[in-house]
Amino acid sequence: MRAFVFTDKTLERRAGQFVWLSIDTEKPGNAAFTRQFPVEGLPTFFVLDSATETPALKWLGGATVLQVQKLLDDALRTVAAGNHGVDEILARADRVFGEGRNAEAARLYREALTAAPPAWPRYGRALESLLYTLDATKDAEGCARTARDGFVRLKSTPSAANVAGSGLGCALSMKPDNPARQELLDALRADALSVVRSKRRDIAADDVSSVFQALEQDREDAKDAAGRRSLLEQHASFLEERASRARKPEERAVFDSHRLGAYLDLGQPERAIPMLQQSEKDFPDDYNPPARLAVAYNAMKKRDDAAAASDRALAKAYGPRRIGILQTRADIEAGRGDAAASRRYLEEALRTAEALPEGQRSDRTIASLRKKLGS
Amino acid sequence: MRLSRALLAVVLLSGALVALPAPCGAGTYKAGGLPFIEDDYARALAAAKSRHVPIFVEAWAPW
Repeated sequence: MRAFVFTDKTLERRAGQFVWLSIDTEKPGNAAFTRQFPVEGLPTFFVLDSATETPALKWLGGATVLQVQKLLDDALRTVAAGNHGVDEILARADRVFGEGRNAEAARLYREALTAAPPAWPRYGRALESLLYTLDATKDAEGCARTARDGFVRLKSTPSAANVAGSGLGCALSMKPDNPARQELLDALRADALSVVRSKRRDIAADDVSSVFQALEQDREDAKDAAGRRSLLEQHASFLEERASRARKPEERAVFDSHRLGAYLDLGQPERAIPMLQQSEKDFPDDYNPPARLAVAYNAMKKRDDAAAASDRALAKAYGPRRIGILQTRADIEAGRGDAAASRRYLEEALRTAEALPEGQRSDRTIASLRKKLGS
Repeated sequence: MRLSRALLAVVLLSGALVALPAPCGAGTYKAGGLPFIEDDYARALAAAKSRHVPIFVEAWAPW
């Protein structure tokens, strides 16, 4: 978003309409904010009514410039209490979604979509938020059905990728003995394939990449190794093509993490090395390039290079991300055959996880680390 | 916006925006023409209350 969206000239006229705040959720000092306004995924965008300190709107995931413009318009209308009818229902849904009350938000988003007129301009945004809340409340079938039905109306809009990708992911989460699962999977797989084959420029690259990931998961679940590999190759090519069009280093580096993921899944971690070396050179203060190099080198069994990259990352890393880097280091040491060193890094990861403030601390992460340590 | 699988992608890619901000004063950076206050909710809230405008918040991580 920083590299592609917020820098767009058309957003400049918005500067005076809001106070703009950036919250790095990894920093301990921001834990109070994330306790007050739950952040369940990144990026998350809020518009807060400063008079009441309540959320007027919340949006999870990437967005195009056009989508951001619409979000800002909707939020201003909500703050001004200028909504009526279905828009007022949507505003209530947005507010409770912002407060983290996903089940109530799902009910209100459904109510808004049911009451909406045929050409309601907020249909796509409301449906995408409904899909998220259904998934978050473990209603996989409801999510998949909503996505399948909504895609018909949204297939020519920027929402198409999120709807197809989220829907396919939900369908994959349905229990295998659910009789509706196969039909929903088939429909949503076709929708998702139509998105990745469309090569449209009006859909955010990260949304398309997420659809690729859902399709790859689908092939993995189907034990279709050749089909999965074909998708991974297409996915990597898509990301490389987008990265090659970058005008600035930050626009290229945006794709590093997904490219690394695709290369690892292809069993070709060496393909990630040149881009990550370039990113480390371009962003010497950023811990991500060396952290990713550590992962790639470790996958290549180049343990000394991996450990050196890990040292560089750990010298800069902070917050919850440090835990993952320490776990990678434990894997590197295990690969070297040094079980004692591996355990020391796991123990450090556990201490780091336990020391995080509420709002950043994850019970699941702590439990997982304790399990690995056998404690 | 999927929580489990696709959201991981969102986290990995969108959170990977390693763009270094253009400095424009302590605790502030400019993204294009938008002056973002960095990591200071209290300061943003005070500014928004005095100007009677809402706050736009980007919650992110440098992953």
